[in-house]
Amino acid sequence: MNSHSDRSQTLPILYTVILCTLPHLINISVIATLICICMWGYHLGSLYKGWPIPGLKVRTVLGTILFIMAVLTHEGLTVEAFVALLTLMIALKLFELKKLQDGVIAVILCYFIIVSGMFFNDSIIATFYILFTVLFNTAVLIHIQYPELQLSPAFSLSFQLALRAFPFMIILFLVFPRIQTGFWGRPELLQNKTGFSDTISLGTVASLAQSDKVAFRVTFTSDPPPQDQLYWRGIVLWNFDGQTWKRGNRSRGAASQFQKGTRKIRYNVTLEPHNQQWLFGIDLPTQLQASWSWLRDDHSLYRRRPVSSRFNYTVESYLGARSQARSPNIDLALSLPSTGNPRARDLARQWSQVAGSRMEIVEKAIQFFKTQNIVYTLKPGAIPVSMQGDPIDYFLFSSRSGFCEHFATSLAFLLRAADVPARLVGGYLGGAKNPMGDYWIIRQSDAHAWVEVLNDENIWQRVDPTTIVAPERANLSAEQAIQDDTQASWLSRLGFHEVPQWFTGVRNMWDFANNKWNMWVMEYSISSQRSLFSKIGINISLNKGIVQIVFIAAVLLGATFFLNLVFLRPKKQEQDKVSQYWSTFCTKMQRAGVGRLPSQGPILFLEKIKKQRQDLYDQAAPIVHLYIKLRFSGQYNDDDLAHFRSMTTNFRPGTQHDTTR
Amino acid sequence: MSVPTTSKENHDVFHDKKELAAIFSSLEQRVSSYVLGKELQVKLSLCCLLAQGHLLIEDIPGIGKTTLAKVLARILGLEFQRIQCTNDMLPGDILGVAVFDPKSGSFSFHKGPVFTQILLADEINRTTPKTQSALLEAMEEHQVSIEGETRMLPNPFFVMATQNPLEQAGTYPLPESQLDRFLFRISIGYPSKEAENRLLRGGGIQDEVAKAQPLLGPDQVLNLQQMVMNVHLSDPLVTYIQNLLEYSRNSGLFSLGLSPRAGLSLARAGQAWALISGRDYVIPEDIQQVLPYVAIHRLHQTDTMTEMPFDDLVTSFQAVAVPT
Repeated sequence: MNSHSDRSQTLPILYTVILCTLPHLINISVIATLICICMWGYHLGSLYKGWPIPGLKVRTVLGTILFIMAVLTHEGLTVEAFVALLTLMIALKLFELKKLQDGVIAVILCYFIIVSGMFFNDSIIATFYILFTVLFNTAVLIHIQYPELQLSPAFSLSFQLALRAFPFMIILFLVFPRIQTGFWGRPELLQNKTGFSDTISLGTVASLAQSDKVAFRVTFTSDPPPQDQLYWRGIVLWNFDGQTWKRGNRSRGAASQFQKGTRKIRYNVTLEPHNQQWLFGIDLPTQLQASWSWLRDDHSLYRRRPVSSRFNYTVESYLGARSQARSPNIDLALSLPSTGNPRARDLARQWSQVAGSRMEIVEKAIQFFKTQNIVYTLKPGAIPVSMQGDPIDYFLFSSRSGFCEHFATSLAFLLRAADVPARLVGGYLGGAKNPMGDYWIIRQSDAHAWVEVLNDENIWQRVDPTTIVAPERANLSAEQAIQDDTQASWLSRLGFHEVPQWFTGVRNMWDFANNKWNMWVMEYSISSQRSLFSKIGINISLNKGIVQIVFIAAVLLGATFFLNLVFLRPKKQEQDKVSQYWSTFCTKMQRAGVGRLPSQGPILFLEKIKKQRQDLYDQAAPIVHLYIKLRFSGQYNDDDLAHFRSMTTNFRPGTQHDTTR
Repeated sequence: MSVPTTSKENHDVFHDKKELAAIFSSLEQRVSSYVLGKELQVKLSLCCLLAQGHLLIEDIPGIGKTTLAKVLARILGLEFQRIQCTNDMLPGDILGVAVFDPKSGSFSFHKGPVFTQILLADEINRTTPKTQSALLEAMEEHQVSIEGETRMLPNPFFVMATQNPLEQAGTYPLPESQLDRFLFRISIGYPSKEAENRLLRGGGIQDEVAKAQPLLGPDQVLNLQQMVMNVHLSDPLVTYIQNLLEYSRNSGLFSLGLSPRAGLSLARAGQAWALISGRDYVIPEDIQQVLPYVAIHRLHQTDTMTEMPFDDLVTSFQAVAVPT
């Protein structure tokens, strides 16, 4: 094979590999991405500049190194590591495209790459991109097996195939048994680790608040609460070691008693995967309906397994309700490390000496925050090394600028130092209503932290120091509440000081479309299946229902297949005997892996057979020559026709595939 | 379907197919031993000659066009003339002129170079349209009319015209109607490395060409031309040619489709190719083989009004299915 036709065969494979891998480049590590691009580049170089193709030994060593590298740069055997491995191995496979089989393997591996894209991003755009790559990949698969067919007719053929498969896809989507997510669920992804981790230290929430990603979406079934009451409680933190707040291990029991509040609200939350175990609910969640999840002692919503795929649950909250404390937890809510932050401790000690009750101390602390002119900012700057041991002192007395976690952690510290039990709560504050779909979107930029204090009646009470310093935060997202030039968003840098109306509209519309997509397509679960089939009177939790649905599916699939056959097949022309037997032969050859293109004459077809199925050549050659005699020579007798008939009907190509070309 | 009417008594030189095949293979071999590494072009030229067409070669100078023409003439045992077309050339320079002879007191006709069996017209697009049309008329009619007298040209009569694709200044490009008179347009292209190596070592072959022994004579060539016309063209292939013509007219790819004359040429060329390949019937591959050379100079792309690149042309006609 000369280099030109070689290139026309391998270039499309390279194209499809690049197209299919492209969306993954942001998912795998930078090193893996760079190596991948280098290998593609080298492959191009070897095609155009004749760079030497690495031999078997080099490939083996390289493959081993890449395997180790993929595991090391992706924190072990994670999904990312496997995807990186697949990507790298396909890129490596490009160097051994010697036979047709190699090309087919490379292209088929690309289907796996395409499908694994669904783990990372299942938005509308991503799904359409994936559909496109499936079409393109199929086109390349056609092209490498029918080299005479250029890429663009191959693409239209692939499109036709996909179109015919579409009804099958719909039917199978609706009736195929859903694998219930939850027990094994979707694999955990490294990139989903945005959102709250199980610790809060100074700076974690601020970095989170600069992300625009959706944290969760909420549909209220009762009237939504006012904006300043949208405290989405998530993780409750008890332990403080001087630097970070941790969850502690004391909140295991069932939810404690609570004082009734003003109003009950019910709502449904669709949580984006965050690989953590807690869920979010409006202060104070009192009832939770979700699989494998429960309310814990401190009224945090807890799930047995980390949320690794989109998760849907229903919560009932009591606005203004307050939970009662249990005595063993009070000690925990008072514990502090023995050293550090001496100035804050001194201040707290002064308050406790003067004040008569816990709430008086809290009042003093609030007054302190009000009078200290502390600046609310997303970028408070780094703590100098000399103050690393006393971050709260540095914030309260030196820098005086911080984000909600600075306020909350230092308030909690001050209160504990003054013998008032306090705990830190991480969650979100606020959210924006999407008028398009009548649901609320809570983004990472709404991330927030606040304090709960045990008051004099041993009831936990919410105190939010941030809204004392920056009252507008309660009604705006953190980014909007902070307005100074250094933290201007990209929009205001472009000259839009307020987000233009149309932009918000477009964004809402887009989120609405994505939300519907998630609800109807991505979240189509066994329960949606059950309710769908119950509408046509079939209960699939019974064996009888399953039999019914299998029967219906079989009938529908059969009917689709039949319609496909009848209406979409190219119309058979009135054929005489010779072309009838000839097409029998061609069909048999096609099943044996050598298809004849409409534009291919008999001799070219025979050459192709020789190239692709050497073993069949001796059998096929007399048939082809007899066909030529019958069809084109104008000299034949009835014996020839009978002979041709028996030859074509007795022709039995084996299915064993010798792909040496 | 009818049995071909190729009857042997008309062509007593060739007794059977085997002999025919042997003659063609030695012909091709002999010609190719002078025109190195250009087997396809040799075969195409031969095919064009046997199909009674004329050949247009578009290529740069020094690539072996003249050698090809000379060798063909020598080996086939035909007369050869070459004219270098210039812009001051008159029709008389090609066709010939009547000169007054004082001795006899009458005009006597002096034949021009066109009175030959193989004519190489170099850089045909350099000469004026008037001269071009005189030559092309001669090609089509196989005769010339001078001073009211019609003179037949020798038979066989085969014109190889060349044009340089690069230099366009001071040229008169052949109009489409004239291009239609050429059966094939081919280009020769640079020789392969090995061929060029042999060429350089051999130090030119002009002397050897002159010494080349003829393999056939004009009569045998005429017989072969007759045989081409008797090569069996089956009905499905007639339909196939019609489909190809229709595709060129209706696909929207080309501003003007192939003419009926082009269709005739295609059929004849397919027959000639079949004969050269040792068959007395045409198969679809014969048609496909010659189609691009028949079509390349006759078709212009709709959008750019330029010729379609050769490979694209081959690909585009793959949309037409062969008869089964």
